[in-house]
Amino acid sequence: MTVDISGKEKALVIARLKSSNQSRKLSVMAPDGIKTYTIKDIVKNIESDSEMGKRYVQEQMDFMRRINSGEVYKLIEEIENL
Amino acid sequence: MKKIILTSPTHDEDTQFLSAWISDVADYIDGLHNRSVVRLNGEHATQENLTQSIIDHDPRMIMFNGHGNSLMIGGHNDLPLVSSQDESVQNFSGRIIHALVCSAGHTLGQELVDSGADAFVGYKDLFYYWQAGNTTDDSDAKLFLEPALHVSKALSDGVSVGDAFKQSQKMYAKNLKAALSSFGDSEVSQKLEWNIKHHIAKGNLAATI
Repeated sequence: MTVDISGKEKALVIARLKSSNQSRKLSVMAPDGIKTYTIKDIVKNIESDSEMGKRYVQEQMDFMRRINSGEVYKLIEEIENL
Repeated sequence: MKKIILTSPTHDEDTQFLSAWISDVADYIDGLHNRSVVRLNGEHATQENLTQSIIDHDPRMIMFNGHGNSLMIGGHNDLPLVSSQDESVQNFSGRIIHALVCSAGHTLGQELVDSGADAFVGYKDLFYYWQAGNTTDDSDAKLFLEPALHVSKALSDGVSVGDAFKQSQKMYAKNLKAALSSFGDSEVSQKLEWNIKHHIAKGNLAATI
């Protein structure tokens, strides 16, 4: 999943990460590459335009778009009504 | 007595962290009437031991924890416990599988069901969780792991695969709603939503232990 991420999007996601609890770590249960990322690791990945960094920013931006369009709340409602 | 096999490798930080949570699940199941856990922990989580345990105990359910991808579920040192296109898939015929690993629901899960597994619950892409500490009291990890592990607990309680899956999704959704409204925390909420969207149940959803 390689996409062009704008500088503005990167800056927004980095700013959020820096205001988050810095002792947090993100774990990914996959057998390849680094499996646990500190907030610093994620910021470094975003700044260096690594695949992980690009993916992180894209997922965050997609999520924000889905929040703004109401999709995320619709998903919650659908699950609540299961 | 219905037997349940749990695999919990402990060769890295993630699997060690997860293993503490799996101990809670194992204790829960062992406390239930007519249920017994066979745990393949740490270096014992190998394909050879799993195959032998299936022969010895004829488990109704197998719960995998650790690393994985669309074609493989890993054990100790991420070596395969079960792989796509491998004869090992036949070992799971007639059994319920819960895989708390990345991506196995994408291809392998369907292959297991096609090869006779009663049902498969897992994730069709990466499984994420945030952690802010090193214990089962970790408030970030709880938001992810309690819904994820609920599937095995509910199944052990006798709940059907479909209902166990629904209950887990509802727990995820409740946590997502709380994360969005109380914390405004996009890091946690985005990964919760991701897990919800990639969580799948295949096969006979009416199956029970």
